[in-house]
Amino acid sequence: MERKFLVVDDSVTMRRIVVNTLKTIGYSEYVEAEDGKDAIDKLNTDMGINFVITDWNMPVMSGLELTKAIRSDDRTKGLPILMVTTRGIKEDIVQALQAKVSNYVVKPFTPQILKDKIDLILSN
Amino acid sequence: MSDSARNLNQIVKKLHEVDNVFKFGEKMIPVIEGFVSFISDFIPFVEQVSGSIQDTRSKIPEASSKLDKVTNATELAMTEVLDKIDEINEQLENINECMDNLVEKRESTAILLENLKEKIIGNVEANEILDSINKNIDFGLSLEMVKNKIREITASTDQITMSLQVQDITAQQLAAVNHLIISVQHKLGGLLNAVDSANFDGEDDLAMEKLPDVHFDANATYNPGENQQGEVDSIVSSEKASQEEIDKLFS
Repeated sequence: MERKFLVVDDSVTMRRIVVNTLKTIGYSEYVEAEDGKDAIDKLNTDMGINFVITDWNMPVMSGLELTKAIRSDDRTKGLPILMVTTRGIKEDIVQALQAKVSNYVVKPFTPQILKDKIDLILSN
Repeated sequence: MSDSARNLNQIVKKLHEVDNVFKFGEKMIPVIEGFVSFISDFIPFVEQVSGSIQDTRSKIPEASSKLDKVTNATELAMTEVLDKIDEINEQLENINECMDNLVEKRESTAILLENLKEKIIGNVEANEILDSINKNIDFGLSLEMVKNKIREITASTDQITMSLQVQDITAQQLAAVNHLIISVQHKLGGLLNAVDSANFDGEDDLAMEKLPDVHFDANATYNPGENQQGEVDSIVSSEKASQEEIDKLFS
């Protein structure tokens, strides 16, 4: 199955790094969004997106709110969501898991970590 | 004692009390005068403090704007660095392809030379030339070295890319500082209102910058050497396991 990623981050640098990493590990299809609301818009217009990688701290709509919005919509609730964030404390991780993220990566990450998490999510 | 005598006694007692109040008042007058004098001296000081607060407060938006500019400038610089990394990676990929072509050509040349060898059996001079050609095209080791170097450079560019994530982390730290100084501006504004609202020049001064929404991680840190992901993974595993146990109970 062809993978099309939605990369959500308000930092242009981080979006670029995630996209470059995806290319390095063999995924070339992607769409970018600068916050949760933009991501929802992209999901509504691009039905080919089948994997979401999102930051947590973003203006307008956070990654956590985005996750909840995706999980509460019948069309998108099954999408794999990988949270990539600076927030590494247990309370945050638990909160993200309760919102039903598929997995959690803390910044700064290596390409190998991102690949491992994507592989793990897809194998499940 | 008759009622009138009792009343007189009470009046005398009250007069004594009034007398005491006057005496106390006399004693208090210098204290009150001192206090009034102190307040009079204090007012210019309060005005000066008020002016300083207003001056400090007026500089905060500029400081806040400068922090935003720093974030934007570093983001732009990081984008340029990432552009260069992309270029390097693309060039490395091209070199790799050239190397692969070279290996293919060497292998096909070796086969051709082997065929030639069979045709020049007995010709010593031709065989010597053939051996020399074989030695000249035996650059497998050099190719491997170049490929290793390419792998090392690729690993370095990956490392640089990872290190550039520091920009996002510092941007969040700067956003936290920005939020803090704008909060200070609000507090100073409140203080000014309390001290002397008449000191404000007009409505513009009263219009404080809106506190920005919190969309940063104030505790963001850059610790690439630490096994932070390992700790996160163990929390994720244990939390997921707990959730699965709960799900089983309800299924």
